[in-house]
Amino acid sequence: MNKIRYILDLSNVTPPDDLPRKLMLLHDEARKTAETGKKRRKRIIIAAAVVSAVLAAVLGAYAVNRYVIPRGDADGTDGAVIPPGDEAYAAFTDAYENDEAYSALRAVIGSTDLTGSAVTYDESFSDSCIRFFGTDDVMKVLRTVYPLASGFYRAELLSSTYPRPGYQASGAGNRVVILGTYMRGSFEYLLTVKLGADGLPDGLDGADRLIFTDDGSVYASSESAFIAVLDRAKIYRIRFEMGTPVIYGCEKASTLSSAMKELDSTRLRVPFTYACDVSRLGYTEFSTEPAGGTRVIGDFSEGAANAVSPVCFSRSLYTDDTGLRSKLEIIYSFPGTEWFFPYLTYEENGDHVVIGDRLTFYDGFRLDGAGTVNGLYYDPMNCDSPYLSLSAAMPHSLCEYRFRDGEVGSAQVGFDEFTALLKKYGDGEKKIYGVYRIPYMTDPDMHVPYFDLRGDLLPFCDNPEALSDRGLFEPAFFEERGLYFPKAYGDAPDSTVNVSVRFSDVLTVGEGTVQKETRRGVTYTRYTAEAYRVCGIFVTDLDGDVVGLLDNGAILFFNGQNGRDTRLTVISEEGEVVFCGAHDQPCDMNGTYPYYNTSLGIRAGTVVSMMPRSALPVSVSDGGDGSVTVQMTPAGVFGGLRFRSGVPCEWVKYDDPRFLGTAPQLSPGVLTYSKGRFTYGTVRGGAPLVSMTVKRLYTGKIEITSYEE
Amino acid sequence: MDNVTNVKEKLAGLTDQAYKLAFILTLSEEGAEQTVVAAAARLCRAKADGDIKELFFKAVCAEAKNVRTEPMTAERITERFGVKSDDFYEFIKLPARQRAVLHLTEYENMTAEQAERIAGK
Repeated sequence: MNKIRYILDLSNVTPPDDLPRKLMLLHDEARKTAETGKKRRKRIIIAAAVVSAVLAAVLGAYAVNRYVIPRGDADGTDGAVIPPGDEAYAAFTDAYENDEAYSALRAVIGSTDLTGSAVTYDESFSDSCIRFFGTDDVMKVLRTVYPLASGFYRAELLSSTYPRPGYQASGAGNRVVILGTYMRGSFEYLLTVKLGADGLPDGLDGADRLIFTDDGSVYASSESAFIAVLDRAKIYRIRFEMGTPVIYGCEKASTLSSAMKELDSTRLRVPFTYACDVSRLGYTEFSTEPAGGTRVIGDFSEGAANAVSPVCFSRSLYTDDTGLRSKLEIIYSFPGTEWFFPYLTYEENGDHVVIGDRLTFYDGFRLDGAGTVNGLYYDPMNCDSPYLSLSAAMPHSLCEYRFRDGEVGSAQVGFDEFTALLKKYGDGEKKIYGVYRIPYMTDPDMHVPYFDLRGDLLPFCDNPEALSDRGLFEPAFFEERGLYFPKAYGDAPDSTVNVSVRFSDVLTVGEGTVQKETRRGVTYTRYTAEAYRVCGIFVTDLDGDVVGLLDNGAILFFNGQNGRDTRLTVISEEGEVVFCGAHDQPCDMNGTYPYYNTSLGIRAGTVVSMMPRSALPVSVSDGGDGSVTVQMTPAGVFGGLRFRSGVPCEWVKYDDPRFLGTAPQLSPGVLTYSKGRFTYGTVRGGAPLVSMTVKRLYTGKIEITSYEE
Repeated sequence: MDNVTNVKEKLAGLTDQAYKLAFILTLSEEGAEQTVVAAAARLCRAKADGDIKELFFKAVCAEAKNVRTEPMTAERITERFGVKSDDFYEFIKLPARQRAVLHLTEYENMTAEQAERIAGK
C-alpha cells in the first residue's frame, strides 16, 4: 500500500460537524449518570448505542424467575389489581408468543441491535414519566403509570382497546419479548425488551423487580426497576412486506415521541429479511432479490425517476398527527391535463379493477390553491411511495376502471364504497401504486385536447401491483409515442446513455443508466435517469425540487440554494450545457437568482436560443488536454464558449449581442467571467476569420493560448 | 479527575482519527458516526487506564462489529468523496479486520503487533 496515497485518499473522509457536539453531550450525560449512580447504585443508565453490546454479552442460559411482590405494598391508587396478601409472579408476556413470523423477528432483534437515540435520566423520575407518557402521541405504547405505595410504580400497557399480551406464567431468559403492539396504517409498532439469562432486562439485579400480570400490567418493584426497563425497551417499527417483517426503524421507547419528529432519527432503514438465518445479515448479502434472501427496500424516488410525469413531490414537510410527511404536490401540469392516481387494485369476476382518483389540474375539488392534493402524502422516510390518508381526504367520488380482454370500462365509486372496498381488499392507508397518466390527445378536427380512456393506463413504477405485462420502460414504449429514448450521447461511456425523453409537456434530460432486472422470472430493461425534468416552464430534479426555469428553448438552472452557491448553468433544450459559470450575486433565501444581473447579461426571461448543431459555421478540434481549437467564419456570427459537463469543448454560433461587448475585438490573454463579456471576434465577411485555442483554467478563467487571423 | 473527564479530554483530539478508522471498518458515514459514539460511551463507562488512544481504537474496532448499516459501494464512495486511488478500491474489498490493521499501520504508524492487538479477533 502506498502510504501517502492512502493518506490522501482518506483526507476528505472527515467526521460530521456535529459529531464533537454529540460526543460532548455523551460525556456530559455519562458524567451525570456516574454522579447519579453513586446515589442509586441499582439504576444503570446507559446510552442506547451501548445496550446491544451489554445485552449480547448476557445472553446465555435459560432460566425461570419468579418474584414476589412484598405484601401490603401494592395498595395502588387506581384500584390495585393485586389485593394485599396475594402473591403475583413476574412474567414477561409476549404479544406474539406463538406466531412464527414474529418469532423470526425476535430472533433478529435478539442478535442485532439497532441503535436508537441515547437516553439518560438526568431529570427527576416524575419528569421522565411526563416526558414518556404525558403526550397524546399515537405511538405511546405504555398508556399510563400509577405511583403505588412505598416507591412502587405500576405501568399499564396500552389501553383496553388495543391488543394486550396474554399472560404467560413462565418467565424466560435469553429472549426478546414483545411487550406491546400498536397498529397504525400498515405499520406496526412493537415494544420490545431483551431479557438476559435471568429473565430480566439486563442491568436489573434481584432487587429490581418487574411484575407482569395477566391483565397486561407491569409492576416495578422500585423506581430504578421501572426506569431500567424503560431504558432497555425499544420500539420497533415494522411492516410486513411480501410475507416478511421489515424493520423500518427502531427507537428507544422513552424518546419515541421526540425522536419521531426529528427527521434524522427516522432514517434508519434496515434492509434485511427475517426468513433467513441471521448470520446472512452480513454486509455482502444484500441484493435486490426479494425471494429467498435479503432485500432492499426501494425508494419511491427510484420509481419517480422513471415516471415521466409532472407530478412532483414537495419537500416542504407537513406536520400532522402522524408526524412529518410531505403533501403530494403538483407543481405544474398542462392546463386540463388529467392524472390518475390508483389506490386500489383487485381482481373480481375476471375483471382487473383499478380504483383511484382522476384529477384534472386546477381541479378545485381536491387541489388547494398551492396545487396540493388533499389527502395525498409522500413520506419518503417511512414508505416507498406516496399514499392516501383516508382521514385527511375529503369525501369524494373516485374513478373505477375495469379491464377485461383489452376493454376498459369506467364508473364512479362513492367514497364510502371505496373505503368499504379498501377494508375488503386493501390494508388501510393506501399507497399509490405509481403514477398513471391517461394519454393526452388532440383531436385534429376539434382542435381541443381530450383523453382517450381506452388508452393504456401506463404504469410508471415498478410496483408489482402496477406492473404491466410489458414490464418496465422499454425503448419501444417511447418510440410508439414519438419519444426519444435513449439518445446516444457522443463520447459517453458505453454504460451511460443520455436520456432525452419528451412526453407531451415533459422532458427528462440527463445521464442515465441501463440495467437488466429480473422480476417474477421476467427480465426487464430499466432505464434510470439521473437528471432533471422539465415540467412546463419549471425544471425540477428527479425529487421534484424546482431547480430551474425553461425559457425560450433553453434552461436556466439554479445551482445551490440560500445564497451558498452562485453558479448558474444554462442548458439547451437538447440537454447540453451551454454555460456553467459564476453569478454576480447569490440567490436569495428562496433559492432564486437575480439573474437579470449576471455577468453574462442574461436577464430574466431572455435566455439565449441555441442554433442547431448542423448550422454551426465553425470547426472545432479538441486538443485532448482540455483545450479546443476553434475556427470562426462568417460575418455576423459571434462565437461563445460552449460547455459540456463544465468543460469547454466547442464553440457554437449565436447572434445574441448580449454576450458580446459593444466593440467586439479579439483580446489575447486571460479573460474572466467576472469581467463581464467575452470580447473576441471582429466580424468580417467571408473566409475564416480567427482560429484560436482556448483552455479553461482551474481558476475558472479562460485562457486564449493562441490565435491567428 | 474522574474517568469521564479524563476520557473527554483525551478523546477530543482523537475524534478525526477514530472516525477515519471507524469509516474504514464500516465503510459507512452513518456507521462510522455510530461507532465513534458507541466507542466513546464504552470508554466513559469503563475505567480508562492506559493508552487512551489504543483503548479508544480498540473500542472503535469492537463497536464497529455491531453496526448494521449497509456499507457504501465503491461507486457511492466515489460519488461522495471523489475518485480515490486504485489501491483504495482494492483496499476496501479486504475483510474489515484486515482493513483495520492496514489502516493502523499505514495511517497511524503503529507496529503490526499493536495494530493486530487493537483490531482484535
